[in-house]
Amino acid sequence: MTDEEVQAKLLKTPSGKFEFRSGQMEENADWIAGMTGRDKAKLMFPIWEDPIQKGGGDLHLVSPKVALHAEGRGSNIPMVIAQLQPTVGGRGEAYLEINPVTARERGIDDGDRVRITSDVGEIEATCRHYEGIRPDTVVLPMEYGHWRAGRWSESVPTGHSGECTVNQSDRVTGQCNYYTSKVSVTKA
Amino acid sequence: MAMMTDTAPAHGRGNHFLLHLLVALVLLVLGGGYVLYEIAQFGKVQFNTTNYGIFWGFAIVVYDYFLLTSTGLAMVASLYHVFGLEEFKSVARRCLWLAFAGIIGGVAVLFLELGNPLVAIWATPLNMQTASPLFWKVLLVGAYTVMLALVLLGMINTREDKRNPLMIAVGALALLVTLVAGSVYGMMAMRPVWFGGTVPVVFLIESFMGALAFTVFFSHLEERLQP
Amino acid sequence: MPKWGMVIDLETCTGCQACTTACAMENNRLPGENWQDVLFYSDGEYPNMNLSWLPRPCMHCENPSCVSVCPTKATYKDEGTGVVLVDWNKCIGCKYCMVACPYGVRFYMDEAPVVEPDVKDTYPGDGKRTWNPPFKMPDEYEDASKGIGIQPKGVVSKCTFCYHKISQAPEGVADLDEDNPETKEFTPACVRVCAPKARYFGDLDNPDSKVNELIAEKGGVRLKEETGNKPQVYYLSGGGSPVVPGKRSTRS
Repeated sequence: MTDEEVQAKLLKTPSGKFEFRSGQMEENADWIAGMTGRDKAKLMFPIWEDPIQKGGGDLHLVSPKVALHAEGRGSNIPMVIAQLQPTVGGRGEAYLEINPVTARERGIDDGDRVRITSDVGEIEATCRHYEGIRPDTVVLPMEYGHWRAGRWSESVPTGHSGECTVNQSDRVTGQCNYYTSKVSVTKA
Repeated sequence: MAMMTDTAPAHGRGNHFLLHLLVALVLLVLGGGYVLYEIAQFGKVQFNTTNYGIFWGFAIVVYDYFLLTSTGLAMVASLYHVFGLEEFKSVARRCLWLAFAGIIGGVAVLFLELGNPLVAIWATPLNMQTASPLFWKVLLVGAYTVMLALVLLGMINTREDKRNPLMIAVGALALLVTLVAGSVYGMMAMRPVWFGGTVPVVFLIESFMGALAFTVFFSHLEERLQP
Repeated sequence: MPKWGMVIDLETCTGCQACTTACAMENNRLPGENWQDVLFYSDGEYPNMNLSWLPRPCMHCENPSCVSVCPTKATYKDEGTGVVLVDWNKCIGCKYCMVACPYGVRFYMDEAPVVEPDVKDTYPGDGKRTWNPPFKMPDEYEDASKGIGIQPKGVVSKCTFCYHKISQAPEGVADLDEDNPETKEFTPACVRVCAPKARYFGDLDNPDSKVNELIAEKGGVRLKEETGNKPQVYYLSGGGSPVVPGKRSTRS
């Protein structure tokens, strides 16, 4: 290979190598600092920035998919929702999983109806005490709560977790970031 | 003991027999009608059993209670008819009629609860599953009901309460039905709460308790209904 | 005469419920009436919490207590295959077999639906069938005397080891393996769909079968041996580690 051929196959960074210290960021540091207000001396490095947790509550709401969730229409297929959330006995209904210590602090018993509130919305669900959940987190699978999903889905008295999660994008990359929010949980 | 009915107070008597009978019939129609309506409308779901542990519900409790009370009443009547204890002569006839009412009521409840009661009538005796306590229970309850009906048929047209030798069979069958009913639960080694040889004995005690309660209650009731 | 049995490797099972849903579709089960179920157990307190799971088909016992308590012989041990079946023509719905089964794998039709509204009302049945699901098995598979198909009212149903499949298997075959094209079609639905291949199905009477090899090599255990039922379903739990949920665990 000639030097030219090698040059052509190098990484498209100023140094031609993998850079921890980003040359491109450094070249544009003035512009970036002006646009985002970040520290000009540090922004070319991988940096830690504190996450901004929106929603206003004291607990993290996580809204995962469950194993049997293939697509949105699953919430109206009786065979699917009959064994949707088996780890906490969710047969025919999706439960809010909450750590027993957290629940007792709020006077919530196993199987109570709870209200989940954030800045953007409010839903109701039935809760289950579950030791497999961190005390600062609650989990509600995203499945039910669509307003026109069909008869089986609509008969499940669980709201959709999306009603409570704040619509935000990652502020560095712009990726989807609306699966969690800070919420408060009270007995309904 | 001899004049059990003397304890009822003498005042306040009147001939309300027809009224009481009417009230009882109205209650029967209302209660039974409600049950039949619920079953016709919603099916056996209304018995509130589940596939996850509660297989036998309240209907089976009611059935076994009336079955055991019936056999207990037959055994109380046998105290006079078989063993000749004159103290029980005055209640023997009443006990036998109550025993018949109890077995009919109990089996009626069971038939409401069973999935296919009509199949049970022919399939149980024809298949001879001798290992099952329920097989023996069905056969014995059938024999007990037939023998009891025979004894009662013989008593309809006579006011005399002579000791009836057929009652030996009725009493023995009543005892067997009680013990086998206990074995239905007591033989279930996989259900630790039920398992044990004491369960048939407990059933025997329960059947006497039920029978004595019925005897006392209905004797008082009958005394108050007399003019 | 084969004596069909199953081996379930708990170290490989991921608890994904593919067996449960495949069984429900193959055998036209009501939603939530899981002949084959995966039971989840949790044990301990946060952060030292253990989640375990146990796939549970009918054990098809060698000495089944459900058969000996059935007052009408509606439940019986099939001679040709060694599986336990229910004759819906003779079942009286007394549920004594459900009481007597130590594993809780028998189901009564007329119970409150797991999923509302009741699919039995949405797809009403005709004739003896209690309902008419849109995904029904071919009519020629149905056999009320073996408890296959859509059941009539008031009877108890249970896993048949997919009798309509395994009874068609070629004579003398040692294993019904879903990876072998010769036996694929005769493999029970739950075994065939098991993605991590945690299930094996074969002839317990054939010394050359894979199931016998696994039971011997990996120490297969049967559940609730103290009842004397002698299940024909064996569990592999990784050399004695307590993968089978303990008595302290809470069932969810």
